[in-house]
Amino acid sequence: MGTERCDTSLLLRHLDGELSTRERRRLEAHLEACPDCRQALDGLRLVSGLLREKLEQPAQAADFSGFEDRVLAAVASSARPPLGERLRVAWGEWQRAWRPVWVTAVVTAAVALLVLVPLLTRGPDVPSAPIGPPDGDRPQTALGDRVDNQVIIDELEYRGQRSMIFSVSKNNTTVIWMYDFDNQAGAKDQGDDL
Amino acid sequence: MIRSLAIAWVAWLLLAGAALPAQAEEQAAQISIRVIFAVKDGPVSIDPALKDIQAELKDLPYTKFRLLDKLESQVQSGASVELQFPGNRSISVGFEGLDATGEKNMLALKLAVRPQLHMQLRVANGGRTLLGGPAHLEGTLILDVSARLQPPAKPPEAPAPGVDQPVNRNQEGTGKEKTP
Repeated sequence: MGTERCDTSLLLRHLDGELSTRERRRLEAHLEACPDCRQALDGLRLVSGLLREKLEQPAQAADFSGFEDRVLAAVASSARPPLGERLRVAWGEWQRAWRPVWVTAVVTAAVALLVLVPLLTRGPDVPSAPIGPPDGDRPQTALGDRVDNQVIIDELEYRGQRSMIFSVSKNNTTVIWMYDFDNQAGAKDQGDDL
Repeated sequence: MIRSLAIAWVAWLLLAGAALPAQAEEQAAQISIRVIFAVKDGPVSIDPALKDIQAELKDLPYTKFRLLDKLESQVQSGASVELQFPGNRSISVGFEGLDATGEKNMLALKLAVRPQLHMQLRVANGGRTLLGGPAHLEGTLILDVSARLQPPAKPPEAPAPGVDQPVNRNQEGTGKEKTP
């Protein structure tokens, strides 16, 4: 480094420990051959030491004992914020803490409403208009309303001798007539023959 | 912790959501059974309580018709009602559910007139069928059975005066027995 130029920035970086090993060796070689740089480095060390000493003295003089207690006491003695402000803060904290729950609940409730409302509001599967004879010809049932009398017999097991299925009136009401209904029951009456 | 609560919440809502449609689809039918006494005796006379089916009754070879007993009850799908009638007989009507396979909805019923007749049939909503033949005194008994679909999940109503209580199919028949 004896042929190199003197560089003050290298000296500053050397003091701060920022030089690489290679740079530091070259600088040390240069310092052995350059009294100006050695003098400049000594001056920089002196200034740096004075600055460090001046900065550390106030920090050492500060008293941090009981710092936490004093902070807490100051917080406790401060005036309580108004109720609205406290509620707003509490609501915000609650929202943040329970965000996964209420977001899930709101979404689920929305989906459930979309699915369940049509199901719950759907009326019974009653035909809106009865099928059958014109209104004037439809019979009134014991239950009150006009009706369609269609009957489909899927299975019939009769233990008597004979039975007959027919319809009566213009309402096409199905009649199942059981002859000798009481034969096996041992009754005397045999029932009327139509 | 919060994640577990959220999962539990969602699971609960899903279970509740699955249960509600099942409840909503539960069906009930209003079953009406009337026991009619018919006899060939003099001029035509029909009990005013049978006015709604007088057209049907007039087509039968009898002249006098009297209502002996009746039962009206709301029956849930899978349940039945039973009514005893003169001669130590009984009729039971079970509601098997709604049959929506055809062009219109029909009520599937299981009907038994003990001890002789067992049948499965489907009737249009509000439709009826008449069953005749059992002898009684000098005449014949006719059973009028009608059924109408009811809105689901209604609590059972108190029976009107003169109307028999529905009988569970697992119980012995306790329907009232009335004679003219």
